Amino acid sequence: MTTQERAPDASSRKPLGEVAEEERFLFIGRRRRPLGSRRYRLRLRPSGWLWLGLGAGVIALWIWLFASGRPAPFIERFDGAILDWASRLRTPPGITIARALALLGSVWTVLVLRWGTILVLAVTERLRHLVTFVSTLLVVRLIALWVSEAVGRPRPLGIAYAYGWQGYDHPSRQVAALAVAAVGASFALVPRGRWRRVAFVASGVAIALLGLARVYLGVDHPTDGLFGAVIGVSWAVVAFRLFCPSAVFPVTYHRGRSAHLEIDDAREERLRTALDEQTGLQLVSVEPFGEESSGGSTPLRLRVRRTDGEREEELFSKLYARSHLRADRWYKLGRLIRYGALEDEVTFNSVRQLVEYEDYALRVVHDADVPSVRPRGFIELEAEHEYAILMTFLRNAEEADEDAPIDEGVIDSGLDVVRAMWEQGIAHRDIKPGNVLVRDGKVYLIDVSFAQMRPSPWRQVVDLANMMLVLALGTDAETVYARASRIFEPDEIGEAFAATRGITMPRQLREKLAEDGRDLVGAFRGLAPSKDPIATQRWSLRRIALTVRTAAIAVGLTALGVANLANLKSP
Amino acid sequence: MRKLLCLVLICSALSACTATRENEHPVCDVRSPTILMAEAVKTATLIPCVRSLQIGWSFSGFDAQDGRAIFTLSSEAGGRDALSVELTRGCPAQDGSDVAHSDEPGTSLRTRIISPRDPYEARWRYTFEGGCATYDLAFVRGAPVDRLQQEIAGSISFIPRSQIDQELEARSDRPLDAVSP
Repeated sequence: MTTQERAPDASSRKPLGEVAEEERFLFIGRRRRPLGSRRYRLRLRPSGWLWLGLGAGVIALWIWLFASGRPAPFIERFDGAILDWASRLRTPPGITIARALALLGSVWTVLVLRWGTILVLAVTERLRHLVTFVSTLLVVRLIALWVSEAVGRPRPLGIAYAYGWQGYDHPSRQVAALAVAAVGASFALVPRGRWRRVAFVASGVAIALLGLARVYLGVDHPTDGLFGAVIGVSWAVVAFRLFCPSAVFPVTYHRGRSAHLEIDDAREERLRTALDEQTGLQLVSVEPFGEESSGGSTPLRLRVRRTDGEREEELFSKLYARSHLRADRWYKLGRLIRYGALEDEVTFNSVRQLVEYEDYALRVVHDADVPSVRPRGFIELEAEHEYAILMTFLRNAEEADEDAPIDEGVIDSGLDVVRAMWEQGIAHRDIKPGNVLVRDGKVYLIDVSFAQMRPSPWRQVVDLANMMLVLALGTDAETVYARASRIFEPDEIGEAFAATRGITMPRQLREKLAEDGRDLVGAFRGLAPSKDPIATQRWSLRRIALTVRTAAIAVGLTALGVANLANLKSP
Repeated sequence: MRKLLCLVLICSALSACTATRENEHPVCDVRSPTILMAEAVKTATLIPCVRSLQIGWSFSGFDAQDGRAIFTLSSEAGGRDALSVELTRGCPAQDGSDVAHSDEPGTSLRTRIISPRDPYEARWRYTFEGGCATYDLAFVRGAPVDRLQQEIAGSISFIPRSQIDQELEARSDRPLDAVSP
């Protein structure tokens, strides 16, 4: 629903006095701040706020209690009383059990927990969780080391130690290390819900047992373990709630792209409100759609109804969030390092820019009469954080790799689409089976988010090669080449396949070609006039500098992480 | 408000840095480093410490764990970690060292020169009731060995365990621990 479609003309506008107060202005009673209409709210959830408060409380207590150089007398008396009581309860079997429990904080237990989690996150390619987990471990370790040396609290006095120790005592580095690793692993590895709650309970029990065992063995004061636990848990909870909220970065083990956001109740409600306020549409239903072909957004099928009528319609929507913006940046950085600047791949600075560009590309493609979907504008779910682009839904259309019959008419239609884009100065840049829809013998191109205006001739022939390969998947190279020769010069087709490399083909197309088994690229090259291969590697000072910088940062961070997280002397 | 919070955090960090340095300097006083060293070797009746740091010397490391404590000093003339002092429960019975006159009451001294000249390396072992303090001297090439040895003898001393014990009892009613079971 575009703005023009909704804007009432001046004559039909009601006088302000007749408009209900809540409908007059969206911002009544609020200041018009430059950040936007909906300020992003920190979603720590109640437990996150609780742990943030506890962590801040511990820091405040450190500043207050230890400003004098040693703990306040009441802390000493409290710890002393509990330690005396615990030492009176000691028995040989009790010491044996406590020593076994104290192994929960041993270097090897913590290392296995840390590196096991890191390994799983690396294998499942959850980079964001991995970075958050490693950063949290590092921060807690450094804080515990720094504070323990700054506070300089000796081991408990007047108590016989029944276990080994190293260095100062407060906070307990073993308890802090176990707490951050166990709670961090629960967030990073366990899907939200019942199993994560079980993991939290198990972590809590392990942390408590370790703290109690070390007090029983006389190597920690009770407040050492308590403060270590609070610092470890609070950093893990706050870091994962802030940087890996489950609604945006869910932990799942089923096959699928991590780019897809979960449509939970809160997000559905934001979508409903945004549709109503910004387009006058009522959301009837929402469901994920076509996720297998989409890696850079969350594709949705919406059923909506106009608020002033009963007619329902289906819309296709793509949900964009900050995670997609970051993924886009990393993707482009990776391509720049691996291949150089193949084309003007400028990164976007905000989610708003990302979605604005796709909306613009949709409108250009539509205005150029290239068969595609119709743009219907975009809506803001959360200022600068979440947007959804809307477009018409192509009913009864099938992807070119599904059951859509590919006959000569369809081949001509697909090639006509490419010809039309060439003539209008547009390149799609992402032609793959999932983006080539067939309806009633006609080809439609969808997902124009990568589209480029006034592309280079190289980029245009890459589009041609990819379209020919998509069409040949359902037929054969000879038929497609014969039809293409009627529309394109043989030299143009030769150039297209001279330019074709792994990088020039979208991943889905590469996968489909591999599944198909035929050497379609080779077959086209054999049919078209022979051309020298076009090199894709482009070297520039920027590429070299960026590669060196990225490698240096990666090596530095890895060294820092390994030196700290694989330290065999101290957890 | 943010500026105030930043100021508080910076002040806390600076004061913590100062405290961190103090807690790595085992000077001959009842402070955290000497208490921790006494806890590390519960049998030791004397705890090695720095009586006064000579000009040109600086602290460069401190570590204590159950059964062992060590601190190191660096010297402008002698080089980094020119001296390390380790406190353990006992000294090895025979290590080829010679008996020497001890300048510290209640201790016996044995010395051994590992490398006589350039670079100079030597080991001094002070043995006393319940413990052993090993001084490892490792100077860079061309270092003034005699002067540095005199400076070490003047800098490093011992604090009696009983002094730590008494002061802790007076301070917190809790003495140092006895030998663990």
